[in-house]
Amino acid sequence: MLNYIKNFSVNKLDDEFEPLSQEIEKQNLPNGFRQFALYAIAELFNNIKEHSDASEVSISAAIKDNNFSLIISDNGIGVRESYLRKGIYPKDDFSATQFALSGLSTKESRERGFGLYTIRKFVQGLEGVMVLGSGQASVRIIKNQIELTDISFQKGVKLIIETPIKEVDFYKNIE
Amino acid sequence: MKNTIKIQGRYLIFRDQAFSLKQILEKKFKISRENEIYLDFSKVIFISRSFADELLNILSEFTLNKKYIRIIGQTPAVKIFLNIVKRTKEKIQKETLIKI
Repeated sequence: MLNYIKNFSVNKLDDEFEPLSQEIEKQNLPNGFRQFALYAIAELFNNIKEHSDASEVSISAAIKDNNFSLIISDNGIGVRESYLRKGIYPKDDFSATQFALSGLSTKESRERGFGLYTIRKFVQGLEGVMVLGSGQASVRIIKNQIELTDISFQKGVKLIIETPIKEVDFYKNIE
Repeated sequence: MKNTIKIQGRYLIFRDQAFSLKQILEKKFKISRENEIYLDFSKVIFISRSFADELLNILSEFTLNKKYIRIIGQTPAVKIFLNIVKRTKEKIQKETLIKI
């Protein structure tokens, strides 16, 4: 069982990965799933560090009744503004979140944005749920369905993952 | 081995960490007469995709300057992961060139 909740300054991001990872390592998770959990947290931390311009980060990771949940949010510029600053122009917050989930990177063209795209593939493979909220948009992915919802306003980015814990072929999903 | 840098971190997550490593490698090449350095990853248990991506960029840059970095002591997981990221980068580079 895990119930890890922490709010911290983005300056502390470098120090926060290891304690959380150690908590996850202590859980008796199937090997591929453990790698997925660490991969997801690492990618989301990198997104915050490289793109968010945030000052605060909140994280909640829980394992209970063979289910894993992860909520990571920041108070930064959000997905759309992050694209706009790189000269990519999603027409609204919904388009921006769709861009991110399909793997469009804000980095230079030799790279792709694997972070959210790969996490999405894992979550769908695990038959879990993933919700990405940013600005006015909330995108919920459940199985192969994508549901778009208006929300009041989410400053920065909030990502929620909920999946059953089961064996997963980690390397098959990585590109 | 003389020209070995032992990586102390267990988790390598951020691009910054790869950039710091690059600075260490540059210094080491400067003071060494060798053109090959070994990076000992035996303590590393996890690397992120971002770190792997940046590390591979750095290794390519050194190789272009005829300086060679050999990674040793990786766990099988780290080795497989690095290979997957490398393959994908090569594929993207190839696709980008074809488009041009």
